[in-house]
Order: sequence, then structure tokens, then C-alpha cells
Amino acid sequence: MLLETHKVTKAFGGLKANSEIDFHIDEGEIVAIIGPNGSGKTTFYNVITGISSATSGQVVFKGKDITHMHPEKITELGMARTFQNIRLFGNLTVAENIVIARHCRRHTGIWDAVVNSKRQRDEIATNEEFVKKCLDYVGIYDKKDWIAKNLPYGMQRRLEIARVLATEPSLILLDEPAAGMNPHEKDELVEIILRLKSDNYSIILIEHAMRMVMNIAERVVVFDHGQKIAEGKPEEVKNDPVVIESYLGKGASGNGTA
Amino acid sequence: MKKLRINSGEWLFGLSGRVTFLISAILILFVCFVDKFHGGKAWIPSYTQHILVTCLLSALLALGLNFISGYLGQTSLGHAAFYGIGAYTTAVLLTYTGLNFWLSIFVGMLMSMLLAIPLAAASLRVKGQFLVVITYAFCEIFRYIAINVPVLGGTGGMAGLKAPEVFGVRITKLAATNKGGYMILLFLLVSVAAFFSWRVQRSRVGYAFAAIREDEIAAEAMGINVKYYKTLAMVISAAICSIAGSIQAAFATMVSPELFSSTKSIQIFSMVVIGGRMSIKGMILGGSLMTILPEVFHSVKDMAGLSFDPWNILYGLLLVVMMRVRPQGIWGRKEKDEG
Repeated sequence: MLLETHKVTKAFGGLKANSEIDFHIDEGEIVAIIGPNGSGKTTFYNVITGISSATSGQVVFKGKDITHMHPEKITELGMARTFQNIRLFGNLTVAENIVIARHCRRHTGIWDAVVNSKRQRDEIATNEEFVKKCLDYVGIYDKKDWIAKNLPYGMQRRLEIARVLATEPSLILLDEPAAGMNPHEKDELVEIILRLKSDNYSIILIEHAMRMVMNIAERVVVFDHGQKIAEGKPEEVKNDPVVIESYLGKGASGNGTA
Repeated sequence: MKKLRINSGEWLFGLSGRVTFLISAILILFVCFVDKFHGGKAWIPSYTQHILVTCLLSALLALGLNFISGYLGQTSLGHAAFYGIGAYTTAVLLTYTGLNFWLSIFVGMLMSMLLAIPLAAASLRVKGQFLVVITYAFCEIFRYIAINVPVLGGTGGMAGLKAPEVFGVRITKLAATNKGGYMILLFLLVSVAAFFSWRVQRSRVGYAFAAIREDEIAAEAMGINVKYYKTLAMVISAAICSIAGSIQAAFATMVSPELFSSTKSIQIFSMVVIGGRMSIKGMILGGSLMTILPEVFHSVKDMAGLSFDPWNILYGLLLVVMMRVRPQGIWGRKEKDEG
């Protein structure tokens, strides 16, 4: 078990954005989290990545309790995410975005920088390797000197994935990576995700593009009103009356299939 | 349309840092010693030298604030606090304990660095106008302490500080005029601060600052300890400003609560903004401009026999025009490309 949550609850005042969620993912698995807008998917990401910590419950990653750990420590442990509304370092170059993501795997401090120590020089060399490796992975190495925010939308999404890879994660959390993409860009994205899968990364995916979810996810978890309402193989979930109800409203499930 | 980043050199005219240093060192030494080797009227009047010293002090302050307002991209209108803390620490130590001046610089730095930590902690989660208020208030605290604590001399401050010695020679006797020694000292300090900034800028730490400037949440998610790096920037920044304060105390042979004035804070901030955030040569230029321009207009006032100082009006106007026409500052990197 790579990541496990036990009865994770996140409350904002009286509102429970996540309520007693049990979730798990194994190594090498692709799990999709779906659910209507406002059902608590992104909150759940924020809780497991440490950006906001759970009100109650427990998050265990690689056997360590990370419920109240700081986000930078969790990243260091090997969990990295992308954001629903792209959060690149917009005014920096594509290559610099990757170099920043290397932060948690490097250890030089100010004195290394000032005296230009051997450690510093070694790290600069490995940075270049990583820039090439990560950008090649998503196919945007030729854009390495571009200012990140000037990249076309689809490439910005891909740069976010490259940046995640640069942190050397074992678990990758993608938050609506296909949002706003055209069909062609979506196909390229699916290709990247499947390549990640074959390279044995574990992936949690929040996505609204159902066709994509059904194609690539091995297991689907459905959220509604902050609760986990269903879980199973894509085909099972697709035909689950509870899921159909939450998406289409009461009565729709009476027809059997959506 | 889609611009590449222009990788302009950090030093003047595309020269390397070493060459820039050598050329400016020669210029400074010339200015300091030229009047020693010829008789007759001085080529470089004491007044000009005074302005040069002030330019270098301003440059040092701007380089200090650059860590907060440049690399971290946060507004601080309280950096006069560290300037004043440095100055007062030196003044108190020289007056009451007779400690060596050079040691007092380090004590001042330590004081500033320690006091920077609570300021950093208070401003961790705030931005923009809230941060302005916090930093401003921080500085005001020290102004009132300076005014109200009797040992610190009240509104009059403390006067009659002795000039420091370098290997037994008074710093004021080093060069042709009594300003020369300070000029050399400050030149060295500005060079060190510039070199330090330049090295840090492209290091892991510098990239962490850049990430925080761009997007704090993304920075956290990329494994950067935002709290630590914000505090670090504040501590570095405080240390540099404090050195400037200590030198100022010795140079002016006195300290006064005016060092803590909000005008001073705003002046330091304008140097950074005008010079161009994150640009090292911009800091030196910004600091110098903000020192030379008032003097130039002051002489215009004297020559034209005006009853008011035109600088006071032009200062505001300059800032307004600058923000409209070139918000990134003279040598700043353009932040907002039009896609």
C-alpha cells in the first residue's frame, strides 16, 4: 500500500468538505477520483499533499503518518502534484521551472553558492541532465528557454507534469490535467499518462473527461458532497445507480444505464 | 509574440563581474587619492566625495532590501529599522563600552538578524498592503524606542562617535580627504554584497526565492520550505542594511531617531523599484540616482534662487511616471509580457 487514508475529514467551520474518507492506492496503480464540482476532490488533494491538514483522520504514505506533515516534507517523501488552475512559475523559463522542482533533492546552501563549491557545480550539472530528461519525457525540450507563461496551454499542462517528474516522485497526483484541452492535446496527455504508468509511477487522477477516465483508470472512486459514494472498476462505477443519481439527479437512475 | 527571455548581463556594458570590479576600483582609488599627488586646488571637492559616500551607502541599502523586495517580490517599508539598529548598536557600543568599531558592525548585524526573525514570522502569511503596514509599524517601534529611551539620547540622538581605525590609522586619514577611507570601505562592502547577491541569485536558494515570488503554493508543493526561505531572505536583508547603518553612524559621527524615519524606508524602497528589482547593477544605479538627483536639484534651487526645492515635487512625479512607463525599473526584468 503506497498511500492510505483512514476516515479523513476536513471541515471548514460547519462545512465538511471531506467527510470520513477511506482511500488507498497501491504501487503502480492508476486511480481516478471523479465527482461533481464542489464534491471535495481538490480539498482531498490539498489534505493528502499537506497544503491544508485534515481536521481528523489519518493519512499514511509509504508507512509514514503524514497527516500533519508540511507539504515540502511530503514532496521530499515522493508525492508530487499538479494543479487544476495551472500554477507554473510563470515569469521564469521552462528550464528554471524544472530546476526549482529539483530543490527537494538537492542540499546546497548559501555557502555552497558563495564559494561555488564542488557540490554546487555537481548539482548544476545534474540539473541540466534533469531538465533534458524531464522535458524530453513530455516532449517540450525544444521550448526550454521559453518563458513558462508564454507556452501554449497544452504545453503548460505538460510542463506541470515535467516539473512533477523532476521531484522524483513515486506517487503523482494530477488535478484535472485535461481541463481546457482540445481532443488532440487530450490524446497526447493520455499517452503521457500511460507512459508514466508503464514506468511504474502510481497516479491519482481527478478528471471530468469521462472517456479518458474510463480508458486509463484501473479503479474509480466517486465523491459527492465530501463523501466517497462509490468505488470500483470503471465499468462497475459507470453503471452504479448511486453514481448516476449524483451526476444526473434523482430519477435518472431508474432507467438503468446512463 | 512569444518572447524569449533576454539574458542581459548582470554587470555593466556586458563586461564580466571581475572587469567591472577592477574598473570601478580604479575609479574609486583615483577619486580618493588624486588630490594627494598634486598641489593646488582639490579636483574632487569634499562635497562631491560626501555624495559619493552617500551613493555607496544607498547602494548597500538597496542591495539589502533587494533580497526582500527583489528576489522575494515583497514590499517592505520598514527596512530603515535595520539601518537604524545597526547605527544605534554601533553608537551605543562605541560610546558606552569603547568596543572596537569593526566588532560593533558584527554585533549590529547579529542584533538585526535576530530582530528580523520576528518580523519575518509576523509577515509570513501576509502580502501587499498588509505587509506594508506590518513592516512600517515594525520600524516605528524602534523609532519610538530611540526617542524615548534616555541612554539612546532621545530626539537628539548620540553624537561625538570616534572614527574607526584601520591598522592603527584613523579611517579619516587614509586618503586625501577625510571621506576617502569611508569610500574605499563602502566600495569593498558594496562589491561583496553585489558578489554575494549574484552568486545567491543563481543558486538553489536563489531559485527557491524565485519560486516563492512566483507562486507560494506551487513552491510549497515543489518541496520548498516557504517559511524558512522567507525568514532567510529577511535575515540576509537585515544584515546588509545593518552594516550600512553601522558605517553611517561612524561616517556621520552621530546617530539620531531620523535614521528610523518612514521617509528613509520609503527612500530605500524607491531605490529598489527605480533601479529595477532583482538587478544588481540596478540597485547600485537606483541608490546613486536617489542620492545624486536631490543634490542636483538642490543646486538648481540655489542657482535659480527658487524659494522651494524642485526635487520634492519631481520626486513624486518621477515615481508616478516610472510606474506608468517602466514598472520593472530601469534595469529590472520585465515581469508582464503581453503574451
